[in-house]
Amino acid sequence: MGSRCADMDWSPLAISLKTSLVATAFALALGVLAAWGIQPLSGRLRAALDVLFTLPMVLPPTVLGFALLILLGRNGPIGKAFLALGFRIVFSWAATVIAAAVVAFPLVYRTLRASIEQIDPSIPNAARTLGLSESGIFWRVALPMSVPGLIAGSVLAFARALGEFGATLMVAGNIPGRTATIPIAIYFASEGGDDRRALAWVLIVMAISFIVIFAMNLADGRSRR
Amino acid sequence: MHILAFCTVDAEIRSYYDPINTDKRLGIGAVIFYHERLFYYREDRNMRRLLITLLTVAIGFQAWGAPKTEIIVAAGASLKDALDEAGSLYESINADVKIIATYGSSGSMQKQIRQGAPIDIFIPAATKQMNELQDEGLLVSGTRVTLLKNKVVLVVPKDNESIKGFKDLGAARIRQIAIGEPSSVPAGQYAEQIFKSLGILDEVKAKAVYAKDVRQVLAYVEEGEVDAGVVYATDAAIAKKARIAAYAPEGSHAPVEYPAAVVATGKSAEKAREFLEWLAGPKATEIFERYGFTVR
Amino acid sequence: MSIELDFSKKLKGFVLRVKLSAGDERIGILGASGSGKSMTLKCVAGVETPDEGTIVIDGVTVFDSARRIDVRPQRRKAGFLFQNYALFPTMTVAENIGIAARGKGGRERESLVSDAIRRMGLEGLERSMPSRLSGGQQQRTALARILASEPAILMLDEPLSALDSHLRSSVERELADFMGRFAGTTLFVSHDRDELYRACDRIAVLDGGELIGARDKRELFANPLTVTAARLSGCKNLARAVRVGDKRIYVPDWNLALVTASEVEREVAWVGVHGHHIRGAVRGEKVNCFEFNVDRRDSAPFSVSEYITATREAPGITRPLCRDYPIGVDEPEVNERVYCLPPEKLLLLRE
Repeated sequence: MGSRCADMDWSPLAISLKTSLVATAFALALGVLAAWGIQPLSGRLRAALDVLFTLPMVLPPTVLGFALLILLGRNGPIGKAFLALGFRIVFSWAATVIAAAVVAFPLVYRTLRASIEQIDPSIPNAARTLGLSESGIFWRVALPMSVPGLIAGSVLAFARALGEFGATLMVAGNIPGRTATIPIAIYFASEGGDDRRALAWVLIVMAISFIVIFAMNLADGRSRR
Repeated sequence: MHILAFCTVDAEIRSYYDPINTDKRLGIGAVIFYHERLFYYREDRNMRRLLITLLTVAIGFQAWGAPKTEIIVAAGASLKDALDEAGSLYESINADVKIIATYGSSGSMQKQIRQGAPIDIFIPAATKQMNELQDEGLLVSGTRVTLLKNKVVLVVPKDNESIKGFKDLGAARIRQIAIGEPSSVPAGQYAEQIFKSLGILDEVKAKAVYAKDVRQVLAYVEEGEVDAGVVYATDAAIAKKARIAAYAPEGSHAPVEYPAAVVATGKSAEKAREFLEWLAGPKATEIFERYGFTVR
Repeated sequence: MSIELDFSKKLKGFVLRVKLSAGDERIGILGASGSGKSMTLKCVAGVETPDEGTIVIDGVTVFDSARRIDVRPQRRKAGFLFQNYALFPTMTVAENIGIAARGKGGRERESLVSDAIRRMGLEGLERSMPSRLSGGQQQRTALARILASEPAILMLDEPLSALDSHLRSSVERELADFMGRFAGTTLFVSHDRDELYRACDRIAVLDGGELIGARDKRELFANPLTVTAARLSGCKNLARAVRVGDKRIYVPDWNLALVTASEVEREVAWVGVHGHHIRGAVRGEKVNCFEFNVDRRDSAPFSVSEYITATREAPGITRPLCRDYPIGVDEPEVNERVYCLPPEKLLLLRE
């Protein structure tokens, strides 16, 4: 087992951690912007956007991966634009981040929205009578009040990003050292019959998840004081 | 409307990668579906009658289909089109038999056999997986044959003129190459052997993206996401947006042989034997050669 | 600083109709729970929208359904004290107040904030979080915040309901101070008539969704005019009355024929009498005096309530009257007494 440790390729660990952290950051930023952007809207437009933002959470990862491939591939609108700038998205590390961020984003968005909707309406009403703009109410009152919800959403987002496989495989591919995340490593190790390696990665992912949940509970407990 | 739903459910399940448990799933799926609908329409007498009729028909269908013996074949991804056609031909000749084929990477199918999946015939794209199963006693002795041979080729997107041979892949201007994941896809192993014999294995590894089967390699090349890919000649034959840039040099890789055997865990050993013998026969050979395979 | 309200809004089960004009004075809005009191304030503030009508604050039309005018709450300058104070929980006291000083530059804002803190007696609490403040401190902070926003009118939504009774009087005094110093219309909503009586000049009654004008408080209590007003002003003895003469009525529920001091108008359908106006007969008094049985007595800390029913020969149930008298008054505790309902104390009420 010792020699296996020595010749094991540890790059999936670094790649997964980097990808998940960056993707969570993006999901967080985009989630907040989406929750803010949807505030002034109403009726059908709002409902439609809400469905759109929630979609990556319910679509099967392969469907999502396919959709991303269409958008980001050589012939897709976004892919073409970036190619013109000299940067190819598919099979790059950026693609792993994009795939992970897309699946993680709805988690942040929904927890944040639920958090905001739970706020006693007299608080934003009071803010209005005091002259705060709707924008000001969101950024200075609602968002600070939703920090616990945001944290919970971020943890969920991180976990989802860490475990993302189907869509990542389709747009980022299996490139050891560049896009091969832990879930991809597990899949191919298992396919190739190397169950020991697969199991090792599974245990590592579980360890990371434990640490993250533990840290979250700690932070939660402290904020309740 | 309900028949449409029924067929959709049917088609959806069948299109799954692993149709081995299709009929069981189909039966359970249909029953659950109809029970839910029956409950929903419990007030509406006409609707209930219609549903019960459909349900009876569905179950009858299953029962009526039973007399057919099912033969489940697990084959490497590169055999898909050829084997599908051969299977259809065999079914039309033998009305009491139904051929169900599942395709994928030889490695994952080998795993499934090891875990007891009711596969009748196994046709991997390399001897490694077959040897291992043979050593483990999972094959029916005396049924193994070498069914087909194939050639390994380099494919590029149709409009690419700059790549002339395998050796070109070492050049710096070639940024990304697709090959099968060597540990589970035989075509990937062949690819590595070729590059090793040409002395450019390390350069290629640095640019490689590993696919889970040859079809995916082909897809990458056809979409232009990679500069080149290594697949079988038979895959290149059906490719629409890719062309063959070169054939693998003689002796650069182990011969590509497709062994075939009846698996011990299958349910229809007798009929499977017959089908396998037919696959080695003249009618099937004609189909395989048409797709680009070489037969002994 | 004044207001003119004339609007209506369809609510669950009834239609809210408000018609009220007020200048620089304190108006109380008296109503039961769910009668639409808070909704009235919210419509004036702009966080709810009436179905139709007009709202004018300080001469500026902030709402006019006919002309499609609907000014955002941010610009209406209507200070609103919510029932739970609605302090922003993630900000300190100083920040809560500071955020209300809209559009002011740094130095001006600072002085506005410290001014408000000083006036509300919040020195030392500038950096405290709302969750750490007492109820009274929270209210002062909320008021300081409203002060900082420099409103034209002030609206208070049941400001004392959330407090424990022993705190109420001190906070009430602070509130009265504050209101006294505020130059502008103040609308004070409550279900407690005593609070309103103490705090306001005029009182409007929300009755069945209708708020039509405010009356001088003394007038209102002395002469409620409607059953609801009478009930809200604390009259416990209310019963339907039938006119039998110019100045005579018969009350079936009490089985009493009563003489009234003023003429009984056509709309009069009810009669009421305050518990503390029922008294024992003065020697020889006969008008409106009857024999009563005392059913029971309830003691409160400083008063006693006696439930009395008139003796009745005819069949049917007689409902009791409630007589209040303060402890200390020498009252023989007998079970049969003669009590009188002075005609001038009878309240003739309409529906």
